[in-house]
Amino acid sequence: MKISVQFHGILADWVGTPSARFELSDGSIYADLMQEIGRQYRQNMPNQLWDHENNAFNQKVRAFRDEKALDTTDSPLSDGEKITFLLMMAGG
Amino acid sequence: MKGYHGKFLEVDLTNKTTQDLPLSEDFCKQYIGGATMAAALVYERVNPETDPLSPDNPMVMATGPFTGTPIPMVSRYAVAGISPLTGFWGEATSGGVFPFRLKGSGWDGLIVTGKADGPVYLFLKNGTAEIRDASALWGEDSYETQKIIKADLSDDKVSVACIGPAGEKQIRYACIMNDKGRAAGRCGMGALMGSKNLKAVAVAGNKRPEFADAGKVGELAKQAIKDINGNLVAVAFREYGTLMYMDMGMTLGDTPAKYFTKSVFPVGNVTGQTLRQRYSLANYACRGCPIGCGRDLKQYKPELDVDGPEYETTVAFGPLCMNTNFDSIIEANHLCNVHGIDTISAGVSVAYAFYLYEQGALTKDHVGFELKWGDDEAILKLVEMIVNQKGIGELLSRGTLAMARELNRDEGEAAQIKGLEVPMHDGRAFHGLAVSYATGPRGACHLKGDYYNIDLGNMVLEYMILPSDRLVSEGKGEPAAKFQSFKDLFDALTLCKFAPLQVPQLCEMLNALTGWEFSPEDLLKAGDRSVNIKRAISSKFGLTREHDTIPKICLDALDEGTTAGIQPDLETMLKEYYQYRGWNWETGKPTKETLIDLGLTQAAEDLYS
Repeated sequence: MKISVQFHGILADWVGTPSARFELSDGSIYADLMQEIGRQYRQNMPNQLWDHENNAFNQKVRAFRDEKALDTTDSPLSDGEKITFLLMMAGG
Repeated sequence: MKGYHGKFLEVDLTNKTTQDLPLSEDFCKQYIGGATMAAALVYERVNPETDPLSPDNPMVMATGPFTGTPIPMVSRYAVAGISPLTGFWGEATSGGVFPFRLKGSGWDGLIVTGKADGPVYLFLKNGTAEIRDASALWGEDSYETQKIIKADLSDDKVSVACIGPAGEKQIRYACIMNDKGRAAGRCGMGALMGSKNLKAVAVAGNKRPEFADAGKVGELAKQAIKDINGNLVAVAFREYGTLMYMDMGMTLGDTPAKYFTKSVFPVGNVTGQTLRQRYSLANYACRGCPIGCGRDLKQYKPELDVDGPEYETTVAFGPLCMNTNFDSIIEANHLCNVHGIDTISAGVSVAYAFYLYEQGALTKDHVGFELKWGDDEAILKLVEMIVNQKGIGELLSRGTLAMARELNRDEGEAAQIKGLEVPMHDGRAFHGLAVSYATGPRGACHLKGDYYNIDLGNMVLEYMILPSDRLVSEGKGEPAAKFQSFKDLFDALTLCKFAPLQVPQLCEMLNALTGWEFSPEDLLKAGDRSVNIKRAISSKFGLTREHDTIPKICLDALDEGTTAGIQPDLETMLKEYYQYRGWNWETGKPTKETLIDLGLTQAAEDLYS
């Protein structure tokens, strides 16, 4: 299945790209997507952005699908889905 | 007493006298320090007849128990008095090196009363205080003033807080600048300082109070630095400053545009990333801060000190005016800094002028030129007119409420609460923020509390302040009140609002410094007391529940973006808030029982005599 991903705001700088497409095997879940993102991009990220233990973004980064938060790692994914990652922090 | 010098410096500029004001340990325990201690000192010295620009209105500059210690992110001070802009309690805070040096001067703070018969500045160093002539400094901008005083005192370890020409002219939202571009921005404390003919306060010295447990303080500081450096928030602030939020704020409908009437606007040209890519930057850090969220624009105009605009400033002169020219935002910020005016109140007043022009309430005849949304040259002209008090600039310099009244407009158009202009976060995007705005001790304040940070996923577990649906109102009043109290404490301890430190850490730090035994509950009660003493002051000056509101322009539902059609239920949240606070729903005053329970017996007597 094909999954499109957007990295919003300064996440794009940190990950190194504003968007990416991933080819995952059928039946993949959210954790598989994170595995792939980590494999391709984590080398260039700030250390604090990636949770190496859980192979996922820092908990201040959240994934959204159809404007709803995607919080569980075993959530199934569907072909053609678009997932947006947002950095949940504010200042100023 | 540990952790404090145990004294303020009292300066009477009318009689040119200085004397020590001793602080008891009970007083320090009750009011902690910073803006809260300032409130207790102001409370005793004002009455409802005190004109904010009269010699009787005291100006208090206060550090706290954390200031000048090895704990990171604590070089901050508060300046307070009755606000010349709002007529109620007023406070502002700033960081930099000045707070560290103020504490090193040998006092916990200073109270300035009276009015000098000509321009003066104060010099405090290692327990000695001088009132010095500042005639030659009058008219100098805030950056030059700092340079001249440092040269005059031949001491590069002097730090200076001063007013610019705007403070001298007593512009209602004039601010106090220190360490080049750091600003105690809000509530017009620069006008208060100017009304006393006080151009600057210069501080130096290395006097430090003893700590109850110096070893423990060192350990806690070391751990805090580790925690901060390991936190993603620190990375974001270090790399992009407060502007890191621009894209996210607009996505959430939290970043206002077109004078609060839009929440969708292309911000790509005015983000933290753009600032990094387009300009040569150096990080600026307050003393002892491992982050360094400030920005110096090194090559922008190499002959000048130019500070990078913060998120608030960038939105106020950017999207709020429909402007995407970053250079013009930098110029507007610089103009405000050198003259010494609050960029939030200035930016909102400028945006209101554009709105009024579109509505036909202002014309080319009033202004002298056309006002078309996004016209960056017009924005800069208006800022210049404000600081120079020329033409329509004089009206804009009085803030949006005065503008609405002068032009016979609906006051609901004036983007202010209790007279203080609304900052660059939107209560429609975070309902908890709406009730914080409506009830903020100094008026519309995005820092106490910054509820957007809660509903973005942060929490204060000890007080059960937990994230929830940002667009739901019910149930937000109580946690918003608690969070407001908690964040009010930051300005008592003098802790940066961005410090990602936890409640138990703060208790341990305070206890190690002072030898006290503050629990998380004690700390929250101190925060509640802080909010209530400030409320008691404003109540003296006529504040009622009717002032706890949000203007229509910032409350009416928008028809676009992620907050389309959504309006916070302010009344529901206010009722919850009042119930937690123990405030009277009819009068807006803290009840007598609430005040007594918090140990504010004098206020209880005064408000209910």
